[in-house]
Order: sequence, then structure tokens, then C-alpha cells
Amino acid sequence: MTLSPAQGRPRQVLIIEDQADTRAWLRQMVASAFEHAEIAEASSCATALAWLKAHGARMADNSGALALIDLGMPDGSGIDIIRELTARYPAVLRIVTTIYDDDRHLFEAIAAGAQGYLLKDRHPDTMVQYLHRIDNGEPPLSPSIAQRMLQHFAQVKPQASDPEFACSLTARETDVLRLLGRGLRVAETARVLGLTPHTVAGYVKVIYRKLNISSRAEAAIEANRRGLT
Amino acid sequence: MRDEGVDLLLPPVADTSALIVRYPWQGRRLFSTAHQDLARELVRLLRYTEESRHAYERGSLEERNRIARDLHDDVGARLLSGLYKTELGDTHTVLRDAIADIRTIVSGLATDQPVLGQVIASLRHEAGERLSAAGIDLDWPIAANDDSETPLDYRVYRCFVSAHREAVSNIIRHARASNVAIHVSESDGRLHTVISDDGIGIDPARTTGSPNGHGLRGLIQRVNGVDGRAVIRPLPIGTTVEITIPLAPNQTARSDSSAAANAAPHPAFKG
Repeated sequence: MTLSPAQGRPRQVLIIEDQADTRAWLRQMVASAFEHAEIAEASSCATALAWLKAHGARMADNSGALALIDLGMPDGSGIDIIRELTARYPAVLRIVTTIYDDDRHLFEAIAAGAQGYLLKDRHPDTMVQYLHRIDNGEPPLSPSIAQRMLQHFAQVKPQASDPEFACSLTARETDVLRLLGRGLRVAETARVLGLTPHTVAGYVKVIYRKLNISSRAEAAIEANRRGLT
Repeated sequence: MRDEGVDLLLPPVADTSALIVRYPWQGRRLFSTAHQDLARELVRLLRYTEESRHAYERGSLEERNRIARDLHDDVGARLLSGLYKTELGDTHTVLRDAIADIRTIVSGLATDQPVLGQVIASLRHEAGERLSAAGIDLDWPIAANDDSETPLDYRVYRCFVSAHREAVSNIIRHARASNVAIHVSESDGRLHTVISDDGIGIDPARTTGSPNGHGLRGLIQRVNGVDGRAVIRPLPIGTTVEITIPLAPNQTARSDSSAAANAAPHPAFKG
């Protein structure tokens, strides 16, 4: 679709996936979603990290850069790569590609900094459509993950002393999570709350970010408590 | 206790035979009622432990049988029919359905017990996504029992989810509908679902006819297997599927339904 004309360079995409067939299929999906994309592949955590070491800086400089990350790799978890990308190359859009839609796997990935997820058994048309949506800042959110997020934020203590980590949800964001947790989709949630779908999608994106911030805050507090810092 | 405290008789418990313990403290003292009470209490605890262990073993055996049955009857049957499809696109659909089945089985096992409210939420989400991909609108507003914490028996959960999925699949494949309305309610220990579409209507022969079966035929069989009832009715415009499932089906239905499923070499997943 759209290029990233800002630097006149094609969009850079890194696909991290251990199954060769799936990798080839994902490449096809990316190629049909983003014309002229420059696609790199990695088949293990180690090769992905090595690739990032060599090309990460250049990639982060590329507006529209994105990484598709499989969670179950033979030599480790894709979550570590998400963490690495979030910490060092936050400009790269981080999308999980998975066969599991359960909250356990995905919640952890979002807490680590994932900005969207795609289920690998989807129809190609749906896949391309969802890729575009995530790229537009409209990540999906299944009911089970929404419910899990609600539980999480209900327990988060506001970190008044450190405004960077002040990441409890607003009343509106909580409303959105509650309705998504009941299985409504973004458009229906918008109708119930009297908002535009665009606004609701924006809230979802913020909720993703807040989950990442609050879990980093928790990690920092935990490290502090154990005297690691 | 016997001989005024010389002997203490212990019943058989935890794989040991009955015992007579005698001459306590090398014959220098006698058993008292306190010792007798202590022995009784220990025997009671051991029996309780034993009973719990047996219950656990029975439970895990049932669980294994359940997984085996689900894999065989649902996933296996789907994959098999995928093998026979001549169109690659049909095979893809079948494989996706099989993956969806595996997800349901796994999430039914991973959570302690699925509760109604959560199951409704994920069905609403799934139906909405599938229907919208097919260009069909879904009208399934939030209702009172969406907060229901009623735990679902695993068989009820599987049946409820599969029947739903099948009804929606059937609409997508055959109904040429533009709108689907779904309503789920819970009353008198029953789960009641109404799924209506505004499509081209249904040929009654499809649900009763061919021995090879059909998605809707499979749906009816499955619902009957948990003592429930599924009725498919033509509307002036479109079709309505009404499914009623008891929240606590009686236990005999289990062997009946699995026997029926095993007897049929091709469970009705031909849709």
C-alpha cells in the first residue's frame, strides 16, 4: 500500500519465524499488504538478535519499519526479542504472530511491548487487513486479554512519586476494556459509548502502551526491592 | 480395644491388612481411650487420603478419556474430511476449523472451569469477526447474563461452543444472509440460545435427510448427546436455530453420546 516516502526508502520488515513454510507465507502476506517492502527473515532468536545488532539502527531509522515475531522459537521466546526491540529500537512496530489466541501468551507479549498480534491461521485477506489495521494504530484485543488487562489495572497502584510510571487507566479506558472484554468489537463499543470507532481504537492503543509501562514499572520496583539497581 | 487395654485392633486401611497391636511400651503400660481415639482419627485421615487419591485417579482417567474422545471425534473427523476435499480452499477451511477446535479443547483444559459470561464474550467476539469477514452484520447486544459466573461443565461448554460455531458456519456457507441476531439466556438450569438470520431459508430435508449428514445434523446430534434440544425453524424471511442445553446433563448421556459417535464412522462434519 503506502510506502514510507519520508526518507524515500522502502518500508523495512523483519520476519522472525522458525517454520520455513510459515515464514514464506508471512512474507507473502507482508508483500501483499505493503508493496515494495524490504523483507528480512530470521529463523531463530539468535539470528534475529544478530540481525538486529547489524541492521537494527538502520531499521529504526526507517519510518514504517515493523517486525513480525513468533513467540515459540526453538532457541528461546520471541518475548525476549520484543523486549529488546522495545528497549533499543522503539520506533520499530512490534507485532506478534501466533497460533495461540489465549490470554496467557499474548498478555505477556503485550506487557513486554508488543503493539499488536496476528493469528497465523487466518484467511490471507483477513491477515492483510489486520496488518494494515495494526500499522494504522488499531491493534486487536480479544475478550480474554481485555479481561486480563482489567484485572491487571485493578491491582496497579498509582505511582504518584514517579510521573513516568503514572499509568493507571482513565474511566473511559476502563469502559472500553470492559465492553471489549464482553466480546463487543471496536465499532459496537464505540456505538455503546457514543464515541467514534477511531477514538475507541486510539484508547486500545493507549491501553497497550500503559500495560507495557506498568509492567516495566513493576520490574523496576522489583529490581529495586532486591537491590539490583 | 481388647483385654482392658492390652490389645488395640486396627482395621485394614491404605493397603495394609487389619492389625492387632498389643503390649504397648513393651508391656509396661496399657492402651487408653485416648490412644483409641487417636488411632480412630488416624484411620479416618488415612481413609480420607486414600479416597481422595482414588477420586483423583478416577478424575484424571476421565480427563484423559475426554481429551481422547474430543481429539478423535472432533479434530480427527475434521482432518479426515479435509483429506478428502478436492478443492484446496475447502481443505483450508477444514484445517482452520480443526485449529479452532484444538483451541477450544486446550482453553477448556487450561482454565479451571469456563464460566458462562466469559464463554459468551469469546463467542460473541468470534461470531462478530467471522460474520463481518463474510460481510454479514451481527446483532448480539450485551444482556444481563453476560456477567454470569455460572461455571460450565466441560461437556456443556464443548457442546455450546461447537453448536454455536456450526450454526454460524452454516449461515456463512448457505444462508446468503445480511444480518444475524443472537440471543443467549440462562434460566431454570438451562442455557437457551436463539440464532436467527435473514437469509434464503432452509430446506427441511437438509437437517433430516442424508445419512452422510450435514453440519446442522451434527449440531443436533451433539446437542442431543448432552440431553439438550436443537430446533431449526423456517422464518417468513430466513431461519432460526434454537438450542437448549441443560447446565447439568445427566451422566448416562455421556456413554450414549460417545457410543453413538464411535459407531458412526463419519461424524456429521461434512458441511
